This record gives sequence, C-alpha cells and structure tokens, in this order.
Amino acid sequence: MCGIVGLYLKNPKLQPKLGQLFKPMLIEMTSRGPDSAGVAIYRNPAKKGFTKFSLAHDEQIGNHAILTTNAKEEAVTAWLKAHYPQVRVVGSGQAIEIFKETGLPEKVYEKFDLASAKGTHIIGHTRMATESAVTTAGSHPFATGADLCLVHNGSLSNHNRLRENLKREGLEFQTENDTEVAAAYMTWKLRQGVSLKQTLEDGIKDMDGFYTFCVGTHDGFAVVRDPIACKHAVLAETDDWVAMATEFRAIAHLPGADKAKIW
Amino acid sequence: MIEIDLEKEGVRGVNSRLHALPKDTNERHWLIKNPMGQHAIACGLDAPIMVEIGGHAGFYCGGMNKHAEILIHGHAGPGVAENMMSGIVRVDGNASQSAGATGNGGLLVIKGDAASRCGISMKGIDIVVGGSVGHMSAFMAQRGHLVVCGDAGEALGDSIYEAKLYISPSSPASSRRPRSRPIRRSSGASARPASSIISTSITPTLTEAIMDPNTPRTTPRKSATFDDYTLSEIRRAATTGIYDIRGAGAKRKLPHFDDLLFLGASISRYPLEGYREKCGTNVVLGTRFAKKPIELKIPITIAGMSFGSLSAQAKEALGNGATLAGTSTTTGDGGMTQEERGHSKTLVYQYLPSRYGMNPDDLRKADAIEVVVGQGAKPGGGGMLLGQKISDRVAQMRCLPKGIDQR
Repeated sequence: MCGIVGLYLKNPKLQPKLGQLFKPMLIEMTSRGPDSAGVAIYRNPAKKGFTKFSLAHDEQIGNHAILTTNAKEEAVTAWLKAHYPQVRVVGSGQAIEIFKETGLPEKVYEKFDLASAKGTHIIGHTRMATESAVTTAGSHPFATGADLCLVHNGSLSNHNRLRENLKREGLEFQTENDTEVAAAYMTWKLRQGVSLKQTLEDGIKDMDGFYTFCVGTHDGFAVVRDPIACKHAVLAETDDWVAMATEFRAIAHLPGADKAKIW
Repeated sequence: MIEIDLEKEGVRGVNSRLHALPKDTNERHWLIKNPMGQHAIACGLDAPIMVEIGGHAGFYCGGMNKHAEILIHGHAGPGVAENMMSGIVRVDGNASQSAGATGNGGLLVIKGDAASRCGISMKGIDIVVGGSVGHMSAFMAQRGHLVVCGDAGEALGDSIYEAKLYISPSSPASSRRPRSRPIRRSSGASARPASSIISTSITPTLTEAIMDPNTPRTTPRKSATFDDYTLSEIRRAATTGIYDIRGAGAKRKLPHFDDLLFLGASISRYPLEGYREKCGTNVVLGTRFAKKPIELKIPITIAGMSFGSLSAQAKEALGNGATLAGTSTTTGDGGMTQEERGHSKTLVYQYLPSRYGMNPDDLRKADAIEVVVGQGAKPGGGGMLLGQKISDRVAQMRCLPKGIDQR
C-alpha cells in the first residue's frame, strides 16, 4: 500500500494556504498508510550562501529541528556525525524542510503544525510498512541531495543488491528500507552530474519492482511510474495548481478538482 | 430522479440504499452527488435501475453489476465494471487500468481512453472504448468483444482464448496479431553422468585401507528432499523435456492421520487435571463482527478444490462428509455447484484472481468468503486444468472452450 501526494501552487495567491489545502489530501490517504507520515515542504528560501538542514532525533520530545547556516554542507554533516551521532540529517537545501514521524497522518500533521504552512509546493507520504520496520527513520520522504527528496509507493525487488553496489560507491545507509536505496541511487547519479530527467529515466532500467516515485525539487516535482504501470498514480492540473496522488480521492478535496485536467 | 449525497451518506450508506431496492422497484433513477473519487460506488447492484454518478469515481465503480445502468459523468479509477454480469456501465471520461476485467456480460462503454489491462480475462462482457487502450488489454480474454476506436498498447490479446477484438484499422496495433497460446517445446538437454567421488590419501597405508573392500563404509546420508527417485525424475524430465504437472509439494511423503497424536487439552490451555478435562474442539469464526458467525465442530476444514478438478459427485461427497464431521468445505477455482451448496452445511466461497465461475448470486449464498491472494498448491495463481477434464458443464461455468488445457 502506501499513499503519495504532491501539490504545486501555480497561483501565488494560494501560497499562504499551502498547508491548509494539502491537509485533507494527506489525510485522505490514511487508509493506504496508517503507520507513519511525512512531508517535504518548500518554503522560506535561505539567504544566498546559507543552507537549511532538517535534523531529526529519535529520543527528544520535539524531535525535529531546522538548522540554517552558511557553513559548507559536508562540514556540517561531518561535525554532527562526530559530536551528535544520534542526530540524523534528513534533508538539506535552500528551501526544503522535511518532517516525518510514526503515527496517523492527521496526528503527524498536527504535531508539526503543517496546516499553517506557507510555501510553493509540498509532497507527502503515508506509509503502510511492508519491507522494513515502522520507525521515523524508515518514514518518507528521503533526501537525495540539495533541495531534493523522494517519496515512494510500491516495492523494489533488487534493493539489496543495489544497496551493496551503492555502498561500494561510498554511499551510507541509515535503514534497511528499499526507498532509501532508491534515494541513494538518485543521489549517486546526480553527484556524477547526470540530469534529474536522465537519472529518473535510468532509474526505470536499474530499479526492478513495482513503484511510483514522486521526486520533489526546488521548483516543482516529478512523478515516475514503473514500466508496466503496476502502481497507480493520478496527475491533475488547473490554472491554480498541479497535484499528484496515488488515488484521485485525495485530489478531489482541492478547489476546482471536478474541472481539472486529469492524467 | 432521487439524489443522494455521497459526501454525507458515505459509500456504505449509498450502496446499502441501492442494494435494498427490490427488482420491481419504482425508484428507478438515481443521482449520486459528490462522488469525490471514492471507491466501490454502486458496486454489486442487482436491480434494473439507472444510477448516474455526478463526477469522478475511484476504484471498482459498478463492479459485479447486474441489470443496472450506471453512468459515470467523469473519469473512473481502476477496475471499473470489474466482473460485471449484465447491465450497462458508461464512463464519460477516461478509465484507469483493468476496466471491465473478468466481466461476464453486459456492456461497458468508455468514451475516452482506457489504461492498461482493459478487459483482462474477460468472460463475455462487451467493451467499447472511444479512445485507445493500454498494454496487456484483453490478456487471456476468454469470451466477449472488445472494440477499440483508437490504438492499443503492447501485448494486446496475449494468450487469448475465444474473445473477439476489434481495433481501428489505422492504428499501428492493428498490424500485430495477438499471440495465442504458447507452443511447448521439448528441451534439448542431454543426460550427463554424475562424476564419481575421488578421495585424496594422506598416507599409502590409509589409501590401502580405504581401497580394501573389507573396510567398513559409512552409509551416505542422502537428502530427504532430493532422494534417488526425485533425482532420477529430474534427470528424466531434463532429458525428455516432458514434465509432470503436479501440485507443488503435494507428492511429498506426509504422515498419515494415524501418525498424529493431538494432546487435545493443551490446544486450548495447559491441562490442570489430565483425564477430567473437557476437550472442546469446536471453533467459532467471526466472534467479533459477524452477524452470522460460523461454528465448526473441529478445527480442521476442507480446503478449496475446484469443481472441474474434482467431479460434481466428489464435491458432493466432500460436502456430505464435512457436514457429518461438523466442518466446512470450500468451493475452489471453478465456482459453486448446486450439489455442493446442497450438501455442505457450511460452505466457504473462494473469491479468486481468475474469477472462474465467479457469480455475485453464489457469493451471497455462501456462509463465508475466502479472498484468495495466491496459492501454494500450484505455481502462479492456480486455475490450471487439463483439457480432458473440461466437460461441457465445466467449460460453461468458467466461460472457456471445452477440451482445451487451461492455465
């Protein structure tokens, strides 16, 4: 199962209501994923030269934090690893902020006060765990580079072998999750300077299984489906927004959804 | 026209109202407002009514429909009109994957495009698609007609039985012929002698001792799974290319019922007093939610074996035996026969991927429903039967040609 949803606001007047518009979409997907939920929201871009880090910790009460600094990305990651190994960097970039947690999507949404969130676009995930444990670390989205993240619905069948190959290329893994492998694959490709479009197209060849991916970028999101379209996905567009969801009923909550162009 | 607001009444509320209608109802025209892409709208209808759906519908809209005319004024999600028996389903927009899949009868009209697997395993339904259809459409189609006004994706009509497919002559797919049943080829592998065991010696004396026929030998420990018989069977099959069709694991040596000793009292809890404990073997299924829970006298049930693989008489005998023993029988991959229903006090109906013999009326006659995801007895989804076993009746129930091997 699992549900994925994405919303991009074309109309700037709607941007203050991003979190509010997205809330019923994510909650509608609760029956597809009651174990955990997560969102990546693109808002408040950092000043030039600064990077925002989304940090998470398993044991604290307020277990997410946003760190904005003008230090080099690798240096920050290395410092955190050396001094606070329990703190995980779950995302980084100019505008991206990632929040994820176990529990019902509605609770997760309330916990991070996402209903009041403003921004240009947001992608989210509701998880029904199949491959690995129900933990915050195993929740989506997974970061794949600066301002990039990935949510996934489906199951990869060759993730163990792919993980071993990527480990040899120097990538590190925090979980046993198959989506993290897909995220690491993308990170690896993008680091080599391959374009996002090419990375996604190569991914269709290299990743075996049934899946729909939604990839968030600094200026939008991309959707990829497996070659025989095993997992469903719906895209819809109006003059005001572009939305994607695993099932149409999530999109049905948006204003003007009946008249939207649908793929 | 009677209007119902799905947002207020919910899918279950809407469907319950439609299901409660008698066949001769005067309330014949319904409009479902605010469908909001919800699933299973107007599913399992059984009355000659017209239901309009004022927007986009989710999964399985109009599934198992009988008699009703359902108009969807929008797009439809996966599995629209799946397993339809009769009546009409019309989609004004596009339909997602598996539209009209396994449909037994009736008419499905899709004004726009249909995604992959449109009409997969269709069993008599007529489907008309105004636009194009995606890959694997009419895969394993058994009976009925699929008319596509546009183009078709790859593997159209792959492994088709007797359905008829029509696609626009101008479409590229029209030049590709559907691939029918694959031809079995015999394997060209030749038998190779197993190499003999070679031992290396440490000292000449030891070598002499090993070579001496009077030295006692250890009997080789053989694999329980790959015994001499199994290995010889594998070698023969590899050489000739002729293999035994058999249930996975069904020909293993198993203990007989006489070999089993159940310590009855321990099954429920730790026995406190060996000989005076009451040992109740009865089991109740559905204690929490079922309106009609099933009570079995013993915790052993008879698993699903299809009508077709077993004869009607055998199914009847199983039903009689199970009723005497106080347990249930299960239908299997060929649908429910009247004899079987008559002789089994408790009958479980299997709802299977193949939908062979699937009928909503029989579904309602069952005491329980078993949803089959996969099966252990055979590779894949089951539903495999030798041509010799496909009699007129079996063929008719499964919507398949008589005397042809089924997979």
